[in-house]
Amino acid sequence: MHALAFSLTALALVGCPQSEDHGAWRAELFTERENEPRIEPTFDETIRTPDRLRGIAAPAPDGGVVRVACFTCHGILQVELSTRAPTPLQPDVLGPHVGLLFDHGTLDCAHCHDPADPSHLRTADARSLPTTEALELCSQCHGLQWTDFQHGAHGGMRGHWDLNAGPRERNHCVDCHDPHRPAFGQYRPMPPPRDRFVPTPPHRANHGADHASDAHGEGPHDVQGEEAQDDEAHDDEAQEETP
Amino acid sequence: MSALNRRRLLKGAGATLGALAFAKAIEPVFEFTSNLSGDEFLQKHYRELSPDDLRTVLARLEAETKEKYGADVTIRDIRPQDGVQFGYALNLSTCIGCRRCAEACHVENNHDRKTHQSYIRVFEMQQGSFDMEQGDATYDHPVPQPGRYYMPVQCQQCDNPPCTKVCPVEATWKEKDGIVVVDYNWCIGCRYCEAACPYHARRFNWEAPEISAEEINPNQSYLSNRIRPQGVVEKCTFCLHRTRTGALPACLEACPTGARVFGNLLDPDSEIRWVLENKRVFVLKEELGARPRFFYFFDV
Ligand code: HEC
Ligand code: HEC
Ligand code: HEC
Ligand code: HEC
Repeated sequence: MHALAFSLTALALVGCPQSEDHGAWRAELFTERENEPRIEPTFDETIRTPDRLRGIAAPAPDGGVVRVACFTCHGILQVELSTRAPTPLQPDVLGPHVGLLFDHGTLDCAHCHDPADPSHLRTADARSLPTTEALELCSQCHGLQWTDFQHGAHGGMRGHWDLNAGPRERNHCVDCHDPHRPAFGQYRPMPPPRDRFVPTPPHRANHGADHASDAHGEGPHDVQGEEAQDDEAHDDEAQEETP
Repeated sequence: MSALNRRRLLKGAGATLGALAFAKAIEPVFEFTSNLSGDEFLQKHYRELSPDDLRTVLARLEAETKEKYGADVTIRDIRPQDGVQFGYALNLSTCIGCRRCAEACHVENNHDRKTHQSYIRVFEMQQGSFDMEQGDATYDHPVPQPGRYYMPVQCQQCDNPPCTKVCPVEATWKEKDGIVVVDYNWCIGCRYCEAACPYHARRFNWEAPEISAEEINPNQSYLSNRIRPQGVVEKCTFCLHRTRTGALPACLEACPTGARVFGNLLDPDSEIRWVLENKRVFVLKEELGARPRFFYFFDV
């Protein structure tokens, strides 16, 4: 949220800053391939399906972790979906889900879960979806991010910019946002450069205080930390979410 | 005597691209021999190397890396693709300043471990300020902090690059896909380009890079991430050893927030084009007229 708070100021300051010169130059850059026929790319762009959408993590006999599919239990259990909700709260969810935290706007559980079968999601137009289809759910309420996502401007990617050279993999919303507490957490930064000529700004002195106090961070959540363990493809061993 | 002095002596003496009669005259010397330093001495400018010369040079550099660093590496010469103009954009609303990009650059580009060098510097900025000179690149506390935003800055691959113009030996130039490169074997280390860059994007190798054999990224290219000699100026090349083969730059893949967008400006369906056409992008220090290929934007 930090970013949004100031983005309006930012725009006001920057305005629409392209001088004519800059605009013309950019337009020039684009003309070359405009009218060429578009070829179907050879390789695919795929969206990851994070493990957490397939079931819940449970301890395995060998000490590791197994995924137990939602259906394993919910196929036999008759479970009532809670009707309680708003923010921020720790719904006293039972069974294997104990400890679930919730902080997602003013949503109710039933905005996303199918009351008839809580292990399924429910869209705004009342269709029941398996959890693996969560993207469709998120996109119904977050049009801006969904549009950006579809154009590669939200959510990141790995692989190839050129789909004729190789494939590309996209992250899923829930790789980065816990559906129940979607705010993006704080990170410990990687170490700063130690070269001789890192510019030091005039107001640097003010930062001294931050330095000493948060050697171990003070982040509100450990959202990404949990996911990092679940999904090795997320590729962030180095990530140290603050507790 | 240090490599620096030798360089200055031989190559700094008014050498220009055109004035290489001397090197031409002694062409047969470009046979691969184990006399490494001698060969390096006589090497021609990258753009004048014939394919054969180049093969020899690359083999020599590979052997040199093996000798000095104990690592088996492949150094390729990867040329620009036709119909490709690279562009990069970064969403300042999403960036949280975690420096994963700078770290990925450090590893990908075989930077000196001791100085923790990277082509990317992340500035912690006061909200409302756009002056990168006021930013702090050495912060070390959990991010993001309230009241701050984060601005990673690397080579902006300008279309009107102030850096290449000041090079006295034409050791740095802009390639046709937009990437500004350095011939690290031609650079004399005068650092004019470093001073000319308004974005502080060039780095000088004060010492021979220190990096252990296991940590060396063996996928290298002549103009980008091969281990640079001491005493030369180096810079971000949009990871051309990756991007010219269609892959994404290392800094983009490493970003945990998805703030970075890269692609071909000439492809109307590319992500980068969508951003330029649908977001209110801006460039740093536009008034200087350097025409960066690196764009910044905010959500909304
Ligand atoms: C190991 C068995 C098990 C698995 C696997 C499991 N659940 Fe449950 N779930 C339960 C039990 C037991 C309850 C009922 C707890 C109670 O009585 O309040 C429950 C309750 C729920 C509720 C209702 C919570 C409330 O209080 O409103 C939801 C929603 C839910 N599960 C979703 C899922 C989803 C989604 C998955 C797969 C990702 C899943 N469950 C996997 C056992 C399981
Ligand atoms: C924004 C949509 C959304 C809302 C609102 C929501 N959930 Fe979920 N929930 C999901 C999704 C998606 C999953 C799929 C598994 C995952 O990502 O954790 C899930 C999984 C679960 C699970 C099983 C997995 C786990 O983490 O243990 C439980 C239990 C659960 N939800 C309970 C609740 C309760 C109780 C509420 C209301 C307080 C609620 N949910 C509100 C989207 C939502
Ligand atoms: C039924 C509508 C609805 C659905 C479905 C929904 N959201 Fe939200 N989301 C909201 C609302 C409302 C807010 C709060 C907006 C605000 O505070 O301004 C919100 C806030 C967020 C935020 C910002 C949180 C913060 O504190 O910064 C993120 C990120 C987010 N949602 C992600 C998701 C993801 C991922 C999904 C899919 C699993 C999802 N949402 C599904 C309605 C929805
Ligand atoms: C690579 C990680 C990543 C993925 C994948 C991702 N997001 Fe985000 N998202 C972020 C970050 C980082 C922010 C900015 C957080 C901040 O403001 O501190 C953000 C912000 C948001 C916000 C809040 C914007 C605001 O108003 O503050 C919403 C809503 C959101 N994302 C929805 C989605 C949806 C929907 C998807 C899937 C289509 C998705 N995100 C995929 C990283 C991700």
